[in-house]
Amino acid sequence: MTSDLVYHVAGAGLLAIALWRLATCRDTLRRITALNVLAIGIAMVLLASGHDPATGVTNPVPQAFVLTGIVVLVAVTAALLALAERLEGSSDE
Amino acid sequence: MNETSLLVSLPLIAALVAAAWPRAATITGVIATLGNAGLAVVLAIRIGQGGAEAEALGGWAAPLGIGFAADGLAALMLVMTALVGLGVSVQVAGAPLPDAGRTGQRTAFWPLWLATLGAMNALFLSADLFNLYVTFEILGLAAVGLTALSGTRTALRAAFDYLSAGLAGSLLLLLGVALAYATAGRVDLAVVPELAGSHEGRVALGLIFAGLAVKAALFPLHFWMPAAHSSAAPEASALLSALVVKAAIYVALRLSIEGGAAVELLRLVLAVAGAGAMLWGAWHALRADRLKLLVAHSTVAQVGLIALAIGLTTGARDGTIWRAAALLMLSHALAKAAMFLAVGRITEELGHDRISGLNREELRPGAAEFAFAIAAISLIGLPPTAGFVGKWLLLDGLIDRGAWPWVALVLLGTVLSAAYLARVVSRCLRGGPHVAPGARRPAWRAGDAAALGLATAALALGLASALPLTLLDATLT
Amino acid sequence: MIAFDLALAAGILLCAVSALTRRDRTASVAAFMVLGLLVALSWVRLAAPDVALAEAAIGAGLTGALFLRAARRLGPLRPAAGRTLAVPAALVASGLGGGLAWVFASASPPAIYAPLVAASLPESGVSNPVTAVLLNFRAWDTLLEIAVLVVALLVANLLGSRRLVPVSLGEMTLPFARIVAPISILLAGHLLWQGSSAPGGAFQAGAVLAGGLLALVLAGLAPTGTLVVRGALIAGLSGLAVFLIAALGSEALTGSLLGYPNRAEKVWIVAIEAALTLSIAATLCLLFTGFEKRKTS
Repeated sequence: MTSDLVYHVAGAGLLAIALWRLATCRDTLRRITALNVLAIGIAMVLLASGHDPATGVTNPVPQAFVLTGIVVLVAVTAALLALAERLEGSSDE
Repeated sequence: MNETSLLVSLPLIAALVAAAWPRAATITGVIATLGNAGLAVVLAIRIGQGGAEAEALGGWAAPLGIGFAADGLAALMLVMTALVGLGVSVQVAGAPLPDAGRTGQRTAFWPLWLATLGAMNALFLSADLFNLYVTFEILGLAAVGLTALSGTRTALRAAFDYLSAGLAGSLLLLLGVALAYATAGRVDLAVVPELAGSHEGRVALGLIFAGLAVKAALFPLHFWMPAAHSSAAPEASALLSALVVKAAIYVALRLSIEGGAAVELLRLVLAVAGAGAMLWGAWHALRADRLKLLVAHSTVAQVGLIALAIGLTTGARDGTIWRAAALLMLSHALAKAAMFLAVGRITEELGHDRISGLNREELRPGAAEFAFAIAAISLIGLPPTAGFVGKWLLLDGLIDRGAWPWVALVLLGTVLSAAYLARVVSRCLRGGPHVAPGARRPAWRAGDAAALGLATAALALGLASALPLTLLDATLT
Repeated sequence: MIAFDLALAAGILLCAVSALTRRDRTASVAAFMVLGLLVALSWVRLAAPDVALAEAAIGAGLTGALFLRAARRLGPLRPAAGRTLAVPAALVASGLGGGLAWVFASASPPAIYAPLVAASLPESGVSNPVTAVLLNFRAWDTLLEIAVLVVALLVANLLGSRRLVPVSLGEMTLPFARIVAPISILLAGHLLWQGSSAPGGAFQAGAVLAGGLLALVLAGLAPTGTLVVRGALIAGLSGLAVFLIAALGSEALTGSLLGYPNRAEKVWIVAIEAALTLSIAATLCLLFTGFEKRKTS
């Protein structure tokens, strides 16, 4: 058993937890959190795939993919939260 | 400077200008949309004459670098986007959209539309799976902005559902891209045939297609779409329904052409989902009580038809069916944009969009009703429209293959689309004894010109369908 | 080290479950932030320090802060409507997860990128391979990624999310901010400069700078007038503008979009990164503080 396998399994576990929550919960903030967990899971399996246990080096291209993914995700999350907050506000009006 | 570079950078620069100087937004937007149309046409002519072009960005060849593939299919999509964008821009320049009640300047439409345009151009040209994911994110966010533009609670709710569905779709796509990397070690589009050859690769393609299906609102993953497309402002709906949905369909078509026959199960699922969408969308369009909802459900059905065609494509060698899919995309884009703009004008004149209240005696049918009727003819697929040519090619290809059940399904879908569109057309165009003698005629607006222009384009493309078909011959395989 | 990996993985999964099941919003967000930090740690273990820095600053820090803001404004979690679907959904999800773990673990990517990056690195102008990929080999991805940030800014501007009103957090806030802000500027400059040869770069630097700015805003030390917000908006837009102009400029010089002139690559990359750092900091800051919402009624 290698450490890559551990992170593959952990990444897939994150995917499973996030998918389960997305399927069973309607609360906006929780759904957004679940989507973020989903993205972390994807990043983890991607990096674990790019990791070469023989040399201990991780391929820079998947690293760049994950970095891009993190920035894209914070942008979309901010937009989603702004929408959710605006929705909450308009129900009071 | 190369047209492709300008096509992807000018709309984004214009978006920044329009966002930084709201006062200059309209003029910037109109100029950029016009310039974009000119560039797209120039590029299409060059590709039609000289064949497909490929470019390695920054001089770094794929798979390390990102490539642009400017071929016939991409050029057709670029021109389609440019034309629809022109029509909608004419309408918005004439009657600015309100923007969620914040600035009151009515200019927020422009940067969002220009970002959409830049993202679509980048998407059509991209030859890299990860790059496609990033373009989808720009497109998704900008489209959500367009949905939320009207600022009503329904629109905000729809925008939220749209964005979370879109994000889930993007993440599925990203998961597929990650698995594609894990399997083949690279993510440029040329990897697709290799992916189709292994189990892991097929799972990756399946995940990518699932993500695309969410984004294209393909049945049964269409749950977010009718609400988003019917609650947005009509101009925004025209862009969303005619263009944004096409982006995902385009990528699915490109992957099917590249992957070809090897992904049989996936194609079958796509075709069955498409057939389901045709029936489901048509059923809801038949029962819709509001005009915009009917048009939005008709998009579900039409996307189904196109997905069916893509699902039955067995690679580039099977030339007829994927050409049919491309033509159907083109004709649906023009007709659906015209239809949403016409609906916007009709709603404006009547003050509501209930279908039962369309045949009012004191209002004569105007240009918008006429445009709706032409667009309906193209969507149903009656000659001489582009929709007819697309459907004819599809049926021709299916009959050649002896795929009679699919032929029957396509014909059934056609009959249903005629039925639900007739609900509107028959009420809209009533003249003679139904109209009171002193009935007023709706005033002429820019939106009428835009809707009529787009509908006429759908009609004219049917007569000149040799043009897009020649262009499609120059597609990379 | 396998024991450490196992413990870390278990901690990550526990935090994820906690973040997604705790009924108290604040506890759930706290679990999410711890999750981000643990994940950053796991990425150090996977030899990806650039990503670890970005995850800690953006993934855990800023996203967590955004969640905390939303948790305050959205109010408590409403009771769930029905739980009948929970068990079948859990079965399906664990099936999917198991399947994905199996496919990912059984696939081993052929080494295609690594030799290409190694061969092209000397021509890229920088020696950190991740920066070379982000700003040279696949700079087009990064440009579009900045465009995503810009569009998010436009959407937030359109929605006019409520401006954050700084509340007094206690008497230590002011001195804290006065220390944090200058340190963050220094750290951002350091991360930016070292990004060409060691882990770091525009995104990490921008996030750190945004953190410092936010400390100032929250302590009430930064001006938040309409003009300042507008200036920040322009600053947020400027990164993409510089990147696009550089892209077209390099095409005019070398005939290839984003193909930097020979031997001047480092100057171009550092210049673009500097512009991006400021713009990313302004964008992240604005996404957090929000725009003024003018009441129309």
